[in-house]
Amino acid sequence: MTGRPHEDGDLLLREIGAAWSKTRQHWHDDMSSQFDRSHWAPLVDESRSYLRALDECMELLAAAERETEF
Amino acid sequence: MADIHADIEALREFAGALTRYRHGQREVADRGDYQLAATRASLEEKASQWRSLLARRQADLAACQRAAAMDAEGGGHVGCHAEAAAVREAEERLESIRRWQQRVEDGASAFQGPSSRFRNVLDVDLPRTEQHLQAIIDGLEAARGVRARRS
Repeated sequence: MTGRPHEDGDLLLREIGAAWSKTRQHWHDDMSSQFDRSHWAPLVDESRSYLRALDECMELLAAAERETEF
Repeated sequence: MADIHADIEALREFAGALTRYRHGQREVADRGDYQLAATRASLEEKASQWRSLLARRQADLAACQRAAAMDAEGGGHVGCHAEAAAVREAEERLESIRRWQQRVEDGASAFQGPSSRFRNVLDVDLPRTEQHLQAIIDGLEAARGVRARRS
């Protein structure tokens, strides 16, 4: 990972999302649906919430550095 | 026994992907925290530099004003406009840095909640999810073993 933290985090989330989609093609019973509701959906929600906050924070830090370069 | 519609190897691969995700996002979170600390330190360093510069410029202005007062007694006229402008510039820049420091602290406070929750997901919830998935894999393997022995 060499980009900005929130961009790398977004990439990781897309990759794990693709991995889950692929897994669901091979796993479609009741346990799969339960795993999706109880584990996968909360993980995605918290990840998105964090990455959105991280993005805003990184934007603020960049602006602070930029605007105080006199 | 419940119907099993799962490719165990696919589940194993996904369990591995979850572990890599946890490590990767922990690194992302560490870098985010590091960036916040680095910007705080950078702003404090800039504020320190401008405080020193302001003190020097205020001293220059005071010296100029003393010289101007003595010169005025002799009928001369020495202006200190450049020194006064330099002091104002340092004051304004220091104030700007202080405002940005406050904005960063406000942003850091807003970031604290989601960051703390995500750390908890990475340190507590996700390992549990991985264990849960491993238990499912173990159960499927055991069930497949029973079926294989029956057939």
